[in-house]
Amino acid sequence: MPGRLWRRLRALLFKRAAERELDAELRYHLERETEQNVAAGMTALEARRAALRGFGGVEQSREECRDARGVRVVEELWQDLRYGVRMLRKNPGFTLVAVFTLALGIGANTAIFSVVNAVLLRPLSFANPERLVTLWGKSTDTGADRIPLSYLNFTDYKNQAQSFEHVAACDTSEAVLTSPDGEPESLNGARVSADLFPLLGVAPALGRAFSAEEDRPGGAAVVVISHGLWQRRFASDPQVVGREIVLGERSTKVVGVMQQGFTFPVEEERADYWVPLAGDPNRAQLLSNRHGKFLTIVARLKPGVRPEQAEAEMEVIARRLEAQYPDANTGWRTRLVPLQEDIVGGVRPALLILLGAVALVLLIACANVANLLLARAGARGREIAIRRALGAGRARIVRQLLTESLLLSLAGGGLGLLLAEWLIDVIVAAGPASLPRLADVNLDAKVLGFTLIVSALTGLVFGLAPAFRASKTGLGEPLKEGGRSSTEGARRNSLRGLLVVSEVALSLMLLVGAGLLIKSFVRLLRTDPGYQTERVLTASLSLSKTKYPEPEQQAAAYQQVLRRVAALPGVEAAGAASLLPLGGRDSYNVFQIEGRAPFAAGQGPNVRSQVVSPDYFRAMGIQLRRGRSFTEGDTKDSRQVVIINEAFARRHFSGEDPVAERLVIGDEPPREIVGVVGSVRHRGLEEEPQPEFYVSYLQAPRSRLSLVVRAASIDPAKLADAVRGAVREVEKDQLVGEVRTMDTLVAHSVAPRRFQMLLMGSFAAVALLLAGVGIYGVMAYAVTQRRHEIGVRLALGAQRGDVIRLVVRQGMTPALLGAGIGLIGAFAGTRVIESLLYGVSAGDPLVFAGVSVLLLLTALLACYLPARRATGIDPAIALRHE
Amino acid sequence: MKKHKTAELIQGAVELLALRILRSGPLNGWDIMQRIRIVSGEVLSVTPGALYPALHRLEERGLIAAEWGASENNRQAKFYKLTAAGRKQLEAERETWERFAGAVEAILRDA
Repeated sequence: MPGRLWRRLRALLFKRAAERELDAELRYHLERETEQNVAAGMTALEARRAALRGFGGVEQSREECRDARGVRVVEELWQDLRYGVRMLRKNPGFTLVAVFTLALGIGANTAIFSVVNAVLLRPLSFANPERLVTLWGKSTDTGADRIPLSYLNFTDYKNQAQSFEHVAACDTSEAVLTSPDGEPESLNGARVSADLFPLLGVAPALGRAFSAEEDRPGGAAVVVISHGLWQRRFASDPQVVGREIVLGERSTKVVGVMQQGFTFPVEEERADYWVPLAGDPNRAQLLSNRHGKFLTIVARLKPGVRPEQAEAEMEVIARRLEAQYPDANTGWRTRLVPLQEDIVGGVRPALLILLGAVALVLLIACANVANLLLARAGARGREIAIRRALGAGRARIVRQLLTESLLLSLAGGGLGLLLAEWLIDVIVAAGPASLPRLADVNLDAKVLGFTLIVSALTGLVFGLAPAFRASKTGLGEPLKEGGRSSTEGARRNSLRGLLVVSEVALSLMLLVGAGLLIKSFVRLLRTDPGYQTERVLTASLSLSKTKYPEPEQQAAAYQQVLRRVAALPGVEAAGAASLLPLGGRDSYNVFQIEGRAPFAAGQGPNVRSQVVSPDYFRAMGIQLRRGRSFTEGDTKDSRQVVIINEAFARRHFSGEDPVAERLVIGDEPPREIVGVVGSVRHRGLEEEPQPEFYVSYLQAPRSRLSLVVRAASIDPAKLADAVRGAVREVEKDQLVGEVRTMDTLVAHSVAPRRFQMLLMGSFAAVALLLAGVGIYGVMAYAVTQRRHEIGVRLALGAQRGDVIRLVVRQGMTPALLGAGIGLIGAFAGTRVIESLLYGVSAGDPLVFAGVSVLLLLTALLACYLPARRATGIDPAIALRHE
Repeated sequence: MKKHKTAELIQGAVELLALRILRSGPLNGWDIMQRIRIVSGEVLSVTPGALYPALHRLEERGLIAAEWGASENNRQAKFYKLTAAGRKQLEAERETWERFAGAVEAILRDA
């Protein structure tokens, strides 16, 4: 094999030498032959002639010898390339249109693939990421299977499991950084067990990670900070390790700085710091409660242990824990999910659908370019016929035309890369924060390879049919016609019709997809969230627990703040709540209804609970349905009261009046239900309203609440400074967290859908445009081809309308056929998109009808324009051209 | 189509003969041609136009190797010799040929 390769290479590189060798070999033969002839008695001249005659065509043998070496293909390819470039340069209009069309398709595909690559395909940037898994609680009762674990269950699993090298737990955390000097800043971070860093196989860039001693109740207060925080707040000071900072009112020692680019949890937008999970004395109670489920568990499988084995082991441990702690663990199992799957599994369907959609766009682009090539092949009929006549085989012609289309598609791919680079910037900037790993999207080697392959395939797809068709050109015909273009073969026309059919069908499928997503989005925005988002401003507050240690002090401080904010000009109502819709962490409670049989252990419903101020409902625009709201009179010393929402009333008091019934929440004394408010879609517009109850902040004070301010008539964002000022009047060092309008929060919550819809919508728009341009091109060409015929018709007295009808019918027949096929395809394909829809059935007749009309109108316009031009044909001129 | 097939058959035969002739040692193209003529008792003759492309194809397939050397009257000529792969190929093709020839002969005799 190497010898053969070498021979080829030599033949290619030292073409002259190889030729000389061949010459010498054949010359030697001729000389020997001549000598023999002379020996047989011929004259020198006769002998030479006889030798040549006996050889039977020296030139032909030479050709055959060259062929035998397989170098030909490469040489011819080079020839074809040069010829192709020349042809493309000779037709700059055609080349530009084709290259731009292809660049659009390939660029969009590259951009979406680079997102898929970064988000779905690229392994996590940890050591041996395939062995990383997450562990979730699974309830055999409700089927909920993504439930965090309690700390005690975590430690039990960790200590008993044999399948894992490490098991670590992680909980999100927020804290205010008050020192070193500078503005206090609200940070996002995570509480993690000491195992996490060795588990992930990462070490801090500076300093060290936590020790097991620090991750223990009573452990020293230490923190590992992110590279970003280190740069931002510590000016990249290499001496930062060992410094004391004040984080969440605790003096904390910085022990390490993580490497740049490290984030954990991966799906969080940003993590500024990591602190030990168990060290904080304020959380001792939470950690010792087996009901408190708040930990995300990450584990690393031992080498060679399969996930199913680990899962089986977890099942055994879960049953053991169930028997041991029936109160907390009855009906609880665990589920093992590969870490990467856990992070990106949720966005996979949407991304794959987008990838499919963008592939359809490329197919449509291919159809357009194929169509251009067909038209050009018609014009090149003469050239091809001459080449055939001069002895070029069909395969040779096909190869040469394919070389040209590959040139086109590679040029399109190159330009597409530039487009993709720009698109990626747009996508990364506009992409929803909930799309994990979005920041990692870039053009890496894999993406470049993808683009190259897609470009090459594209060239084959759009080039093959026209090349075969062109190579079939009969030897005589175009030459005989003397170059006059008359009506061309019906076959080529039928191929064109097929292209129109497929373009229309593909566009229709895309349009249906986009239409369904747009309708879903509109439906979503029209969903009544249960509150009114307009003119509402929110701001989170967190009182210092050192300054306000007692619950009464906290309540009093908030009372002050709320009074001042409510008194601000332009404010209609001011309230506060522990949990805002669409934001923050949920808090759940178990409860019993007094006078009813208690829920069995572990079976009691967990209900979302909130602490609110009396005016919260008014400020948020939540309707009171029954009874009364909280008042300032509901204090610690008065009757303990609770307000439930309609979903709660429906679930637990169906038909009865819940007002005056009493709830026992946790271990607290009973609370009387005084009112029922409308249900709120708390976690997002798509969530069905869940049972919830509300407690007054005066009866259950919190150090951390969010202000909710309803503006009277002005833009609520304008109130931000006034609200900050009012807070500082009460407590001058108070940090006011993020100030956002409710509208922003809603926009944020619908961002993923918006993103899908916008991308899909753009693809559909591009598809529609390409289809329109494609049909226009076909029809314009058809009109040129039928010039003569139309001229004759006009001369014989056909009316304008007749001609228009003639042309439009020719174009609309395949368009209608394509629409029919597209509708069938869309019906069959909608199941794929079903999971992304909201409030719209996948077969929504309005969407199907609407996009069909839109597409057919576009097609009609694309046919009408050339048709109108056809009526302008002057019969005299058309016929004179005979 | 038909013409193509016949050409291939002849081509294959030339290659087989060339391989067989080269088994006795390195030879140049002209010698191979003479040997075929002489050994077959002047029955078979191969034209140079068929022989040289065949030799180049065999070389390309690695069944024979070429090197330049001095011929009898001290001129430079290209000598071909059988490679190991060529030897194997010769055995295989020879068997195929014998089966084929035997079959043809059997039919001619009995049918």
